[in-house]
Amino acid sequence: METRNAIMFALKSTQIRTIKKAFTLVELMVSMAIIIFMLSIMSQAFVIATTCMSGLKGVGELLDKGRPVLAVLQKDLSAYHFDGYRRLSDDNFWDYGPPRQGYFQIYEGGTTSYEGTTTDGVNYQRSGSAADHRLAFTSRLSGKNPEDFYVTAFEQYNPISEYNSLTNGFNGNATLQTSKNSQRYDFTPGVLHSQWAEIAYFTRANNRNANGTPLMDLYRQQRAILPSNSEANGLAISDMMPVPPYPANTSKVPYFENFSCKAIAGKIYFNSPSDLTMPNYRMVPVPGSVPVLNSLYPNSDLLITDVISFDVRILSDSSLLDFSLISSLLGLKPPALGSSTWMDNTTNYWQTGNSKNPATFDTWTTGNDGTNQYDLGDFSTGVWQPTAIDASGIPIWNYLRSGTTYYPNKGLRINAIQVSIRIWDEKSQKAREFKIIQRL
Amino acid sequence: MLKRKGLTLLEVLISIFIMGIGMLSVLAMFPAAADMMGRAISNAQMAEGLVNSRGMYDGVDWTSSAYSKFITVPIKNPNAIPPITTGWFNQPAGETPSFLLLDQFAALAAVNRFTNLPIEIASLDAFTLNLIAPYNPPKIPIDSTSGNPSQTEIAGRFFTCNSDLILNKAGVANLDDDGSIVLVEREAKFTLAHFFTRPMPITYPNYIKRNILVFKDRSQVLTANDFTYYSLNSVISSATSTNQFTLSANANGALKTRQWVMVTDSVSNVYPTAVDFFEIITVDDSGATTTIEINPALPFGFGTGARSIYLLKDVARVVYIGN
Repeated sequence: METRNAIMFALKSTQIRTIKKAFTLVELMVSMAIIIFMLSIMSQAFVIATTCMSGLKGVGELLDKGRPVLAVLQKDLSAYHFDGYRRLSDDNFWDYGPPRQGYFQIYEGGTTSYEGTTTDGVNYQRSGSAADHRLAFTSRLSGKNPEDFYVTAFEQYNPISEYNSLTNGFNGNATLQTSKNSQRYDFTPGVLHSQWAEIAYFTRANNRNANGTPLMDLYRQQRAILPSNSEANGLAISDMMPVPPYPANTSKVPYFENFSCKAIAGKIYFNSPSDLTMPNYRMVPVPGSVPVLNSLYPNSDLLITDVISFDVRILSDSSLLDFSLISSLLGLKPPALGSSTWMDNTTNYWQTGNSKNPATFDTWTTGNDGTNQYDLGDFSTGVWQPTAIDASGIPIWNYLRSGTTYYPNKGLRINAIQVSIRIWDEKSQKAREFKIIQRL
Repeated sequence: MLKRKGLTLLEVLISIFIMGIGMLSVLAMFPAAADMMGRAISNAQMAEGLVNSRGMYDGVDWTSSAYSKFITVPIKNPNAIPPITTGWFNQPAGETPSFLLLDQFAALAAVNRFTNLPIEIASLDAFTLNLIAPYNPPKIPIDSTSGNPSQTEIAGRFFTCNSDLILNKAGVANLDDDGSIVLVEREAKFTLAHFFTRPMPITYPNYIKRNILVFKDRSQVLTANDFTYYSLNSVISSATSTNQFTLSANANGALKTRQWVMVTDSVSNVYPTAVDFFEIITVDDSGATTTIEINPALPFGFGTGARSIYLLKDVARVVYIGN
């Protein structure tokens, strides 16, 4: 009986379980509908969030690209550029004539695209091509810490023995060391510290475009300057440079591409800061309607790619409340200088005829490079003025000239410089403009 | 054949609910991350604007006599130069420090935006050397020669962040993404102001303390008394370095953390001898009065002692940029 009862209970229990339902089709469909509804909401939120993040990421990447460039540029621009503590923003900058050491040059090539003015009167523009704007100047750091020096290494050249001889010539013989302050850091053969450097910022087309807008790459080249070059240039050629012939690219100066120097009569001449006031000694010579950029390629640092615009403007006394293009300051234009093409291309900021470009601002020189007779200046009146007898001399900024007569005037003071760099990011298809405003 | 027990609809719904909460939590991280990224970008823009504002200031150098045709920071009593040993606390009677706030409204209209602090700003018109009357804050003198910028243009040039240009996908400012011509616009998220202090004694005419105030999303509607004034419950001694103030009343939520305040050592309608800027760290509105904690602490020797604060509306950051 007990066994029978147990069997019946077991059967009953089984029946009960089998009676209980699983999911019905309706239940499953309801559940699926709810899940799909929730997922659709979430997917929309996900898409929005992803789009937002992607946009922000693009802006962030542009900031990451631009920020280091601005830091380098600001350090270069904020440094001293001339002898002593002279600055282009000094009220009496031109009272003492051109700088005795160093230079500052702003080159304006092609036309600039004016884009418009905001409702509160701020003008915006962009440079149109790679040759539009360029900066070239000397920079002099101050201080005694390692970061207060430009560090330059010699380029190695075969055979290695010559390289060793060369670097020993610098470090072992202590003939080319730059200063007592820097000597403490010149402990690595082939590496030199100097507080003077020649620096150029320029762009080159990179054959890409931002949805139709041509893109460029921004380069920086730095060449160390020996403050005192007399001992360096006095050494025998066999001690200082490889035996000719030089490498195929004769525009390169073997070993010394990182140094401000030039080949003279088969020898390498190391420029001093004084030499660099004269255009022919610089890595970016002034004469010529087209900037000589080929020589800038070797050892130039690619700062940033996909640049839409590299625009340089100045805040001058004549337009103190807004930045101006050099070419827009034609109101200060001295009288015409005659028919010499060379002269016209090397005037301070304009070219022959009505063309405003190329335009160049330069601090010029009182030197004589042995080939070109630059204006030596005249201090007889107590205030520097260009030498009137120099018919082939280069007119000095804002010194009015009519024939061979100069009318000293207050020179152009550049109070601050504004460099606008517009960068494009292909991934996010976004562009952003960075500006740096620096007192000079 | 035995059949397994299924889940009820209720159980499934509960599961979905729990899963939904989990997924929402995960999704909630996206806007949080976007917000943080946005803040980082905003801070970067702010820093860029600050650096450029300083460069602009240095370039124009309003405080230099060479640029006096635009504006000079005033010398309240330039002929009364006390001995160096006189010091901050023993200034001769009648001599007071000078303060000057320059922002885009200073170029547009002369309106005092400091409640109950009517004489804190005075300016010399460098053209005429006339002292602009007390109670009238300065309007930037403009050389109205033809071709010079208007006051609106000066406001835009000097007191806004000029790098926040809106560009299309081709990196062009005056075209939209479809190539149609549009007006050049900026985000105009940040505006800038300069606050100059010529402290006591006026022994060194060129010594001027400079602060830059960065406004975020500042109202462009010109109003007087932008900055709300609060008096302190008790004078914070000038010999005490403190970072905690109690207001004389409850601010009722007007003060919040991360806002900036300007602390002065004067009561209402009394010319201050010391002014400085601080960020609010904590706010306690629970009692009858409001207690705030600021950063950094009030410097030792702050005037005659802190007596009041001004809540700087829309100010995102104040930076001291040297003398």
